[in-house]
Amino acid sequence: MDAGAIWDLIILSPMINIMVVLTKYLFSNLGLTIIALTIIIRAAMYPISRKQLLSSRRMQEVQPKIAELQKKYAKDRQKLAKEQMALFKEAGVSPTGCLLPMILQMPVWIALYQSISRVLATSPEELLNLSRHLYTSWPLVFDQVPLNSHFLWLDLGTFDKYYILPILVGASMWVQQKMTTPNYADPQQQSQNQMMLWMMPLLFAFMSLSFNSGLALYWFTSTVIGIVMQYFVSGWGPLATMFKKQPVTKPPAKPMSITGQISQKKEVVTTKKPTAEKGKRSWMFWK
Amino acid sequence: MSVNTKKDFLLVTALILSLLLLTGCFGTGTVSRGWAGVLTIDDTLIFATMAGKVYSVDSITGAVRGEPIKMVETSSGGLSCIPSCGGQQTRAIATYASPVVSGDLVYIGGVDGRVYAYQFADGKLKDQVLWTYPRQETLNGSIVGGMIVANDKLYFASADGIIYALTAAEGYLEWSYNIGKKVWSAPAVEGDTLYIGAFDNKVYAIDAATGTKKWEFETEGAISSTPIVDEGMIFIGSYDRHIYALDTNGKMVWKFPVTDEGEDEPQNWFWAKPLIADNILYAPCLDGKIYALDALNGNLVNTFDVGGAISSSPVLVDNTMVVASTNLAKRTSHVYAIEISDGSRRELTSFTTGINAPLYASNGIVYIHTTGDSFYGLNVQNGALQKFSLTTSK
Repeated sequence: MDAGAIWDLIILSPMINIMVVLTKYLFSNLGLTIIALTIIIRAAMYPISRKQLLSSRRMQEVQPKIAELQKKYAKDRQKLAKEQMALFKEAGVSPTGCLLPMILQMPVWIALYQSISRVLATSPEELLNLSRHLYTSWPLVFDQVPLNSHFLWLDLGTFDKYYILPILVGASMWVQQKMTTPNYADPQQQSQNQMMLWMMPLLFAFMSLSFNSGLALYWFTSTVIGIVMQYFVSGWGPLATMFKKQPVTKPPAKPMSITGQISQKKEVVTTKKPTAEKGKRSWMFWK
Repeated sequence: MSVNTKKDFLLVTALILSLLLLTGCFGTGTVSRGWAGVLTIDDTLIFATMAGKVYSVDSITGAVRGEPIKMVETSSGGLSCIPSCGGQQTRAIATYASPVVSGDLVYIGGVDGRVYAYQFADGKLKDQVLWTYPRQETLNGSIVGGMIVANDKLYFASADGIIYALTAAEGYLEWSYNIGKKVWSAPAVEGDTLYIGAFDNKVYAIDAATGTKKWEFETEGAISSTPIVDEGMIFIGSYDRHIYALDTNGKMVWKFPVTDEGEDEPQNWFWAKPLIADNILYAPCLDGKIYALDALNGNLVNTFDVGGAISSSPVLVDNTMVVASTNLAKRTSHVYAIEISDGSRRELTSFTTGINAPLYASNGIVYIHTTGDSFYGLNVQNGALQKFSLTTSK
């Protein structure tokens, strides 16, 4: 059995059949199924996601110290590496802490992505191919397919002709990016981060126009859940300071010791919410 | 996501740009390649390829007659605004509906939602399209099921859920009937009635002259199989894994299997068109079996297991049924000859690609269109296989 067959057997086919059954019990509505399955999977993977978010936050918190080290040991890369490792150890940060949870989640996201594409089966070839994934011992899956692809104003099998969903995907991704993108004093680094802040949302908005709405709905749902999780782990982050004077991460004016206790105070982002005056309506949507 | 080094930044940027180009230039990722079967007119074979070309081929020599007709449409990819990505791209029109002929006209139904009528003269199709339906625009759905000519009309259905009847000669709309759900089934016409299945789980009987509905019959699954009509009975397979026999008033005469708990219960959809011979109905199933049923009462007479999914409609050559089975995962296929007199089976040939297009038989030769877009002629008696090269002589 090749790798593709194993993947189909263990991951893809189960997810496809679960999706078809869920659709039956969710009023034969594939849109609701995509939302529900995305929520279920994100909830099941919350412990891993939380670890990733916490690791990411800690990494952000030590960025000023890293900048400090980079400046201090600019000409001694070996010493810099050694000091960085010591800093990570002291702060409880694992350099692979963000990466590993992300890698662990990847197969599930890929399977969910593939399942949505498969069950939509917009072409005869795709529908024919879907038939081999259905469980013969689950009679109801055969009656359910092809699934009804209409959800709200969308035909999930094609792109959103009104461009609403791509805009929602782009906007939600921008919000999520903004929440995790710190402001830097270094103009080059700041410029790179600004580009990333716009690139990802634009890319996914564009992909939402190119791919079917079912996938765009999954991206939007997943991003909204990501925003909520991010909020509970590290607050609104730099998004909260968007309309205020932006605090920046700047290296200290003079070298200082990096040994000793790492400050737990956030230096990269300001999460304190602005307080509105009593009786005045706050204009900030996150209030 | 934040980037901390120039290397990170370049890496992520390269990744994003690659994704952008891939998604933009390659559109939705949904591929409709088509699988049209073959048509013979005298000694000419008509092949509609997945590359959007229609060939007229000499059935004896295999030589291509004239230049192939090119069927292309203009489409917009995701990055249509960027000239390097093609801007307004042209792409081949896939065809699922096998070509049909009436008089000197050959009809081809495109996945673009249009019927193309070409004139057949001097052993080949004339390059200039005679007419299209609709004339300017396209229908709101692809033509996936086949077409049929009867009563001087061309009948077909579209994925927009509408059945159309056109005048066969000029392509003017005679009537249309809106089912409202996707239709991938081809119609069958018997006398003054048209029969067709749809994705709303129903079989429809429509007055072929006026387009008014006579009756409908509901199954428990979608229908993409083409019905067959024989001696006052309509036979059709459904995604609910049953074969139904109806009378001309829409009353069910029998269904197979009667219960859902027998050992012989079909394990997948009935996709391809069944065939009937000597009062035995041969119903091909995607579970890799052909169920031979008594046409009068639906009793199971025999089961032929050919291993792979049967998505291509089998054909009958004298007393031999030729059937293609495809391994949908590996995309390989085998072609078998089954003697309906004794049920014996022999393998005729195999391919490293699948077979979805309906088989087509003429003068003892079975014509095959593979998913690799190759055309073959297979002699049922001796198993000789001829591949058509489809190269045009200059």
